[in-house]
Amino acid sequence: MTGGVGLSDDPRSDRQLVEDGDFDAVYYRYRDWVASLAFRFTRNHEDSLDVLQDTFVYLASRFPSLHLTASIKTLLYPAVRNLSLELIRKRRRVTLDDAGLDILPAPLEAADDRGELLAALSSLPATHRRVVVMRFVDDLKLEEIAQVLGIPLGTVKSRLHNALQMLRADARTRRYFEI
Amino acid sequence: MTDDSRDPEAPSRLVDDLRSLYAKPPPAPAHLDAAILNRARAQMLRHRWRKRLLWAGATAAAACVAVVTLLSVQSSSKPVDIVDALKLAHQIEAGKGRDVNSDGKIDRADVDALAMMAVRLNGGVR
Repeated sequence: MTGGVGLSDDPRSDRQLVEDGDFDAVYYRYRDWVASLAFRFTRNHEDSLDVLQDTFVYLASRFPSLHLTASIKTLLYPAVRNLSLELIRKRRRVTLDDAGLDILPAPLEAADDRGELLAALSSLPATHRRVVVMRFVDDLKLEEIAQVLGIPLGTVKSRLHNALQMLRADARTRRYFEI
Repeated sequence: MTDDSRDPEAPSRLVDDLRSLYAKPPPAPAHLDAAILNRARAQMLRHRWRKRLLWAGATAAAACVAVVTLLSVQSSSKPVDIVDALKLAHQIEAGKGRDVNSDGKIDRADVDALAMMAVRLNGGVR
């Protein structure tokens, strides 16, 4: 994606951008991240663009009186997730629970090594899998994950640690941990 | 026991493959940025106007309350005359009346106080 010349490299913090009322800068900083997240949840390009649009319109509705206490990602993530769920339910008339979103990867092109990774990932407890995906795919910091999920930071760390231990012990993913 | 003091790291190859499981979306059309930003600006403008209307409404309501209070104070400030003192005397005899001089008692002294107000030069305005 293009656009927002130099804006995504803006040195100001999220809080500063909000205090300055610079919505455009926030948009260009998080547009691609939101688009990727929406695409992961919806698995449909058109739907992800709708979610992208709705997410930033939602943010705009809160922007003038917004007082950031954490990263803006902690505000955007639940919005993208909920808007995606709503759209999936509406368009496809399927019943999909919140946890289901994390085990819906983009279709694999061929039965390669990643099929085993996907199988191993799917075998993790939903709570652990979610933390793994949020940390390594969605690129959220541990503090941000704790904030989004509303759980203590220690719990996030312990879930992530345990999930990695399970993947290390799993024959399908052990090779990733061998030097 | 887990080590809570650091961020658990995953092998970079695992992270790369995890990310590739979830493919990146194709680029969004160029006109979308402008469309989204325009909708967002319109939304912020609506929000600002709602806020201003709310403020205007609150200010108008406060002004109304102030005017009503002022009018009621003015209407209760009509001059008293000697007839009011006479009425109070009758009321006190009948066991009613009011404490005009604020001494905690309702008696003849209240009638005197009202009579004094009635003969004041400023027209007996309370």
